[in-house]
Amino acid sequence: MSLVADPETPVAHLPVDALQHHDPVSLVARGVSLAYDQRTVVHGVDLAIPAGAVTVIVGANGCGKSTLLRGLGRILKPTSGTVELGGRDVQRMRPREVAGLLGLLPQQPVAPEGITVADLVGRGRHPHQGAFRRWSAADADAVATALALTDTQDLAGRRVEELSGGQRQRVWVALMLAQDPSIMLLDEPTTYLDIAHQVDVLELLAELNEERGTTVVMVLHELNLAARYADHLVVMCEGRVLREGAPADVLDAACVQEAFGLDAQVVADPVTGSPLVVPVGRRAVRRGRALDTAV
Amino acid sequence: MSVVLEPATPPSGPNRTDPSGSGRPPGPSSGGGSASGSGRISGPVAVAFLVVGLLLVSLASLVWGARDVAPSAVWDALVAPVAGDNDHLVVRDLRVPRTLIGLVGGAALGAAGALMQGVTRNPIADPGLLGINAGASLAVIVAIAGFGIGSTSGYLWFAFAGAAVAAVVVYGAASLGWEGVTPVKLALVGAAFTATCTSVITVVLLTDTRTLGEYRFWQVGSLANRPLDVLGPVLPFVVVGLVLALAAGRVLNALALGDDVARGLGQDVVRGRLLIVTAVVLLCGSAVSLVGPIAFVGLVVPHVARAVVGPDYRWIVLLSTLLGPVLLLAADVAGRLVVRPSELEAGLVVAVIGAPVLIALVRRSRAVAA
Repeated sequence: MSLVADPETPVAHLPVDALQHHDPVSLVARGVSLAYDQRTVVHGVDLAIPAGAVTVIVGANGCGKSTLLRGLGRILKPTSGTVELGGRDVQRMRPREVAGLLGLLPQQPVAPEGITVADLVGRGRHPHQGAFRRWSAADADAVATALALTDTQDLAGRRVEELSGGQRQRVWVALMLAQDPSIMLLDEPTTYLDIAHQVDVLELLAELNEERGTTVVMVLHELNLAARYADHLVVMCEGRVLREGAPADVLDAACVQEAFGLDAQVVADPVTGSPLVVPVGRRAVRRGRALDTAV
Repeated sequence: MSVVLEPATPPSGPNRTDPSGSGRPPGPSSGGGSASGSGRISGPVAVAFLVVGLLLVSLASLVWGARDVAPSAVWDALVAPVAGDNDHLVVRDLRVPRTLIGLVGGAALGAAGALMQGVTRNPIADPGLLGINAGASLAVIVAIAGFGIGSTSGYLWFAFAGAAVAAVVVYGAASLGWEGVTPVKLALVGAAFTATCTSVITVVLLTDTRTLGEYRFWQVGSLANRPLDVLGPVLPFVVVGLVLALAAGRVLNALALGDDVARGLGQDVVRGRLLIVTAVVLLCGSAVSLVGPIAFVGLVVPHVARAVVGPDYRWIVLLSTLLGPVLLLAADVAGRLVVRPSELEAGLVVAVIGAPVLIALVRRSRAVAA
């Protein structure tokens, strides 16, 4: 796998599949505040997720980005404000209805011991099944498609705990695909993956977005990968949205300083031209290694 | 029961679906998804084995005991009893009741154990974890010491009420706080409640030897000397509990992925837990009223089921429901045979049989994990 995306190479054509192609669904936060117990973590955020695009939320540790994602995914109920999915307040929708439109992958999900890849992906069909409804042909097709789209069909019979971190993350994405949502929310899907596998997972998500029109919203730590893969970048700071927009418009030295308290230079990514954040770092300055252009 | 089970999960080796969408992945023979993985048996096969096992232990329970009765005499006793025939009397008045009570009690304990381990995501959970057995035991103490009641049918409603009160108190206390009921809080509050009840029980028993004498036989857990009329009042609770338990399989499958993933899949986590805990209370309350606080069946049986069919709770619950009575009745029969013409209580024998099984399973899963 090449780390550098070659713009000349067309995206591999994906098989015709059994999953629905959804019309884009809007996801909007209006004045959303979120709290754990008494501690408010997100303060009155207004945010419209662009349908059919890749949105990446970044920010320092504890800035409330994961919490906001949980709020958008109806995991956490806002203390004030509303989250609207397709124009309707998610708190007034049935859980199953929400699950038909919106999938959520938390940070570091844990698979039951001994479960096989195919069985785990099959659990993504939960919202499509009733208490005593049988496993249907549609379910089987959806799972087969999800495995094919994530290129995990060869792993179907393997146990999830035997897989590498990168394979495992693909399998969790497959579970969300089998659920067949229009919007995918992912909380740090690249945590604990090496750089090659980080790129691999992000390429997969970008591909799904491009090929299927799936709206992707994810929290990422790696600013440069965020800038590379985001159509829409949201920078959070202390529970509020600091800036949002196209990465090139949003990510500059002042923004990095304000959100992370970090001196950095922002240059153009030599591959795509997207912003590339280069930390200055005290040691480099002290040792005189920083070039004259350094702040 | 008329529960339709969803068979399996997706095929274990699906290839790309063909473009027409008509290409079914491999048929059921290769597609028993829940049986995928090494050393597992498919659900239907395991169920068939267990049904045969149930028939065999039931027969053994009717035939063997302090006094062996020939199978033909058992048959006669059931279909054409002769008044005054001692064999027939033993079968009809003693063996049939204890066999039926063993079947019902074992099924309730097995299913309740599977539900508890699933809902708490805790492999050492047993039906007693919610404090239900402790509550029932305390109520039985009250019945003996406070009301002078000395028969199993007399204890029945005390045990049931104690179990229900315990469940409500523990679930209520565990749901305090902003994030509601969590598996950890449920387990901790259950343990605290159990400790409290146990200390009260100990105080009573230390000061009242007559109660101690009565209580220790109930507390061991036994199928003997329980008249058939204790079964009738409990049966409806067990039936409702089992229907809920078998319906809860897919909820447990979702919860097993963690609360956030389950919510993302559209599972109402709070409602799901309430459904499961309700089933546990019905089943465990019934079981403790019928056979005493034998929690060990509920601990071992789900582990065996999981080792056989894998992590799909739809199958784990069903297999546990069938395996519970097999283990309980086998223990009861073994208890009658080892010290003839006296007998050992089933509650003791279950632990002797079950503990090595549990240790073997734990060792095996370690070996797999390593």
